[in-house]
Amino acid sequence: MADATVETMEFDIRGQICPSTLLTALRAVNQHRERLRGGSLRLSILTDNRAATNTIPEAVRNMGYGVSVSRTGTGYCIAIEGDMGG
Amino acid sequence: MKGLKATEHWADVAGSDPAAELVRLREENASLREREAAAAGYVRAKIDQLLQVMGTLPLHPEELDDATLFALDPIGILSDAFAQVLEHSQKTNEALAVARDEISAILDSAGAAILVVDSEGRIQNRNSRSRELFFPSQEAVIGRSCREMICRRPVAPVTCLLDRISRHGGRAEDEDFTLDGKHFHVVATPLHDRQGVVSRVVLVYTDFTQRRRMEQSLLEAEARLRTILTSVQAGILLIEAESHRIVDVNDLGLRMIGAPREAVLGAECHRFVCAVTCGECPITELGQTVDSADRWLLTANGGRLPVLKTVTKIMLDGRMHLLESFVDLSERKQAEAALQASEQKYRTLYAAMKEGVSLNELVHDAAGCPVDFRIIDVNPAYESIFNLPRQAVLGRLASEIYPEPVSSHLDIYIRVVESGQPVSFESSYEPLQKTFHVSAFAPAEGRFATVFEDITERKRAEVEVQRLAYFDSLTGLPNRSLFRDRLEQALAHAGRAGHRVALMFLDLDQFKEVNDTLGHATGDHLLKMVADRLGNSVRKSDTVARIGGDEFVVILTDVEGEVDVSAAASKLLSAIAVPAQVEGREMFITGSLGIALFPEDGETAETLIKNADAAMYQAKEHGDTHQFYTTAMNALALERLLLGNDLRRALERNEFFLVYQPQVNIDSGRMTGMEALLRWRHPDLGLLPPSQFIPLAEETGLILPIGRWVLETACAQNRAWQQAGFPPLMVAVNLSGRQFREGGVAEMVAEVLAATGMPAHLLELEITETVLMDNAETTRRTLNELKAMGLQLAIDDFGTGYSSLSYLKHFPIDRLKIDRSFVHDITRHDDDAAIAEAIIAMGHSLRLKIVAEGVETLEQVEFLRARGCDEMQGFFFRRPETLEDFTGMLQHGLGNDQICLFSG
Repeated sequence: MADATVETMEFDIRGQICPSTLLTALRAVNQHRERLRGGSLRLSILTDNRAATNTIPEAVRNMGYGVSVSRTGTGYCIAIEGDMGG
Repeated sequence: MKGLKATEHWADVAGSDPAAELVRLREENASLREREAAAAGYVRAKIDQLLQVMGTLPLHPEELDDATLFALDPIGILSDAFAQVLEHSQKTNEALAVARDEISAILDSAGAAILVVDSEGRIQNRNSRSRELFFPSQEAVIGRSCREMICRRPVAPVTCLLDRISRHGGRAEDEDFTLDGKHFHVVATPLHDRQGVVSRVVLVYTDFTQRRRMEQSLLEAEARLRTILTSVQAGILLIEAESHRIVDVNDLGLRMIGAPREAVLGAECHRFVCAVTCGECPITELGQTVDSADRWLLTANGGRLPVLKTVTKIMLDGRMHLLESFVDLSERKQAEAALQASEQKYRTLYAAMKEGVSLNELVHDAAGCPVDFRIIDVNPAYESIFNLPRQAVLGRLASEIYPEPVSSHLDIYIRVVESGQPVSFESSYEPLQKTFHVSAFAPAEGRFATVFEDITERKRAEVEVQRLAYFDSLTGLPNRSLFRDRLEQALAHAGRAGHRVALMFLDLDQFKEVNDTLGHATGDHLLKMVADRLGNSVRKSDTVARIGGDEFVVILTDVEGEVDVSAAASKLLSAIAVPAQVEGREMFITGSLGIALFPEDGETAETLIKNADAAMYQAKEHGDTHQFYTTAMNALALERLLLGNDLRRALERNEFFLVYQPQVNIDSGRMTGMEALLRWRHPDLGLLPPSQFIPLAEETGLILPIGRWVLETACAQNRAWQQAGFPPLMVAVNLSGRQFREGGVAEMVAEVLAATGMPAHLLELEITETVLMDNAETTRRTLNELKAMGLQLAIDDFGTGYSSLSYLKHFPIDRLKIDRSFVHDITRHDDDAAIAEAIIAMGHSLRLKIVAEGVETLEQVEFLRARGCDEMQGFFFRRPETLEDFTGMLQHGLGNDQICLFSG
């Protein structure tokens, strides 16, 4: 039910490598902090940088967000949402 | 900030040289560039530092030129991110604090004791329950070893939960950890750190002591119940109420049913109990809560056992059950049947007995004193004895039914009721002129039963027996026994008073012919008539007795002389000679009469009888009507002629026999011994007393074999009585003078004692004073010999001879027998009383026992008792008895210590 109202904002940062991937992701999280915490927004970060699948989830987890990493055809999709439990 | 600095710079520039200004500007530009580069370097370094904290790579310059760097503002991004990290961290800490409080609360509210220890067993946390249980008084337990604090003893590694966890990992359990008498179930759960190493172990102690105790007491209760079930003397079935199936049975129940457990369990209860009322179970169908009744138990072999069944309902496992117990009643039933039979028997006896029985109850007055009694029941014999129908007496008071004196027996009955001791007595019941032997006993509290035996006839018979013993049944005259007694009395009396006595023997002439020709009835008639006539012809103080078929004797006391006696004789003969009408026929009777006078013709009864008899024969022979005894007659030795030859053969013909007369202790009334007395049953002359043949036996020397026979017989008989179990009694035997004179008495006695086995101390030899004095020295030697053998020695007929008491002390004498002549008038003549008293006193002073002979009355007994006489002998107690009668008397207990002859 909640999913129905959750908007997913996608950031395609393929081609970037760490740490810019991380900074890009963090900037997005910072910018949308309120909506993410409120649960109405989900960020989906597409990356092909393998290191990013470690740095981004660890950083946003420490910030209290829920993170999941899944593979996509050409790289990875890192999903970030407001609740750790997600 | 940059703009501001530039403005300040431009103000400075306006007032200076341009070249120098240019140089200065160039220099300034170069300086600015350097500072910009330094600033960018600084920013990048800080960014890298922050990125490192974030765990990522440093920012390469080629990735981002300085302009973009500032525009992108990574520090801002990272600061924002850090701000969020901090914020999250704070929230997390707050949540953790709440969680910790929650966990504490949960731990503290748990019933189990919970400890958290590290891998070394050091306590890191504990809940309140563990504090209560393990260290109630210790505060600082964190960090201390749980092994010290809780186990407090070395524990083997296989048992220690921590050791087990460190070896095998995973959870470990100890199902029964015992501490301070408590039982715990312990579960140890390891907690691992990120590296998977055990960092903590949670120990949960669940106290199940109570449960263990309950289990234990449950087991004990069950064992107890089982013991009760198996040991109780009742069969027990447990039945499931709905199905009526037996679910449990005890051993006795199985034995009573007679089937193995498996055959009983699961079976319907109706198969064994309540068979008849199947479908009408008192509990489940008839709605009773308890059933207790006599029933039959059906046994496996088809038998029926009487039982007392008790059923109660009990709930077991939530289901209704019936607990049925059975007590085997077969023994009780048998006992009841036996009791019933016994009761029936006694009831029959009660109804059929000839003694009347009444059951009575004491009646009390207001003060509680018994004043009367009420009749509760009587038997048929009672009805007929008292001629009172049962309905007329039941419930009525004795005072309404019985006149005195029955009611006067109330005191006796009260005593019976109070003491419980039975009492019996004789009672005359005037209204019916009956005599009862009444036994009263107390069968129940406050009650007594009286048994009435009608002894009226027996009493009458006893009087009759008494009469027959001393009186002739045909004529009513005194018989031979009483005559002898009276004669002795008369002689004794006359001897002391100096009077004379006449003894007359009268024989009817031709009486045999009367009997033979006219029959016995006529003869008897005649005898009665003669008796009447004789009786009417003498004074009241004289005695007429019939001592044989047609032989009468008359004792005339206090006679003057032969003239008077002769006149009396004539009068008697005339009286009988008066013609008489007997059965329509006139008869004329004559008689021959012989007279002997005391003291001229004899001083003893024996002599006088013998002489009067001789005189009578003379009269008959000479046809005289009466004849006085003369000494010439003695010469004729009539008896010798008659008896001499017979006496010789009497021993061989077994004509002698002994009679025994009891000797009685005067104080206790108990029999101490008896005197053996010789009798001769002559084939023609009948029973003869010793006086009629002993003098002859003495004279002819036959006294020696006869005396020996007497001694042997008496000793053998006394021994036989003892062997028959009667109490030891002393037998006294008379020795004659000739036995002493001829010598050898001691040897003879010794032989007899040896032959018969009679103990010497139970034999007493009696000798007369005359014998004692005859040849004093020889006699004394003989007596000493006898005494040395252990015999008792007595002086017979003491007081009639010449011996002085003081002389007696030279002889080993034990007893003196006071002659009957003194005893006879002891209560009537002061002289006799004085003599007897003197003999007793002096005899006692010589330590001799005194025996009184011829005691006949209670007055005499009381006189002698008062004077301290030791023993007595005489008709008052018993006449001499034949062997059979004496034995019978012993058997009936008269010789027994329990029986007092005084009562007889």
